[in-house]
Amino acid sequence: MRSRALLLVLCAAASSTGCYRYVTRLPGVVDLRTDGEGAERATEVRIDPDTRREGIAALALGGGAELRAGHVSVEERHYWFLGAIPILNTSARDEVAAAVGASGALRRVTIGEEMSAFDAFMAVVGRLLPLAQYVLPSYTFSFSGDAVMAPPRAGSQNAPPPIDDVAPAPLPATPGVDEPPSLLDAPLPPAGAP
Amino acid sequence: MRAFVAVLALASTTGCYTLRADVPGVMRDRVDDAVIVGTFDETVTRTYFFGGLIGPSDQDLFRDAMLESARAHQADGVANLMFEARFSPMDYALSIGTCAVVAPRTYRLKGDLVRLRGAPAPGRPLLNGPVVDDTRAP
Repeated sequence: MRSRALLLVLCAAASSTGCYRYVTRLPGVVDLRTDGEGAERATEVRIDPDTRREGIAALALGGGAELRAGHVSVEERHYWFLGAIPILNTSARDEVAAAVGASGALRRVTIGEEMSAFDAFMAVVGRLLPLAQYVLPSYTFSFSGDAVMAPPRAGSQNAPPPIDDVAPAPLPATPGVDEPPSLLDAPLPPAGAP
Repeated sequence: MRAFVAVLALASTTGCYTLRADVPGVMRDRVDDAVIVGTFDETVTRTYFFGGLIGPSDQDLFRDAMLESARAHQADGVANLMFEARFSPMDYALSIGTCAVVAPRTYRLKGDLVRLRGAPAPGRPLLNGPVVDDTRAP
């Protein structure tokens, strides 16, 4: 009876949100004005070592954030209980933040997800282990980009002159965007700013 | 048995449900004075075959939609991005109904369209094309 109730709960969860659902927030701001191909490669690139995994942890949860010759990448392996309830490594936010913050800017960014060769191998072999069949297969989220020199921020003394002298147009009133966004990372301008 | 070994070998070399999506522009850790002018929300279902072993190879999954949304809202960038991957109930039904010969997976990328100040990174401009009417805009 209890197992049937659990099955019903899992089916309800799966039908409302979908199976093997992975959600992660990606910190930072995508600047769409240019492709960044003219930016210099970053010379000082550092990644928080706490976001890097080694050994068994890297196999189980992915390698985390890694820096290799100016190319930063993130590998995060995630698991669900019976494909419905995320239980391990449920977000890559910290690792992506470390990757983006390595130099302050990345170009040629790609995001992705797959059941990697290791995931597929473990999905077959791991089922021989007790309880492992309930959390397999795993999937792997990936994020990568090339570290470049971050352009100076607005108001910085090193900022180059503006690309045009046209004052920014007043913002159009867009329905639904006046509410404070729940995921807001970018600071809003002070009241009265253009 | 041979087919199983072949499938296992293919899976061990390529993986399943492989997605690589390009994000246009430059991703910055933070910017000053960003103003939110709209929202970007794109959901795409990719159709894979044979349990996800074979799938589309395009990497422009979100690129065009992101640029079109930015143009339509006169935005310069996207902040607060959220990536989601899942098997929707329809994906699952189709996968079960075809014994995983057809196996779709649904991806979603959403965020806030922002107008940026300050200098952009040097490079080719991405938003200078004609303004596209974005029917997805709220």
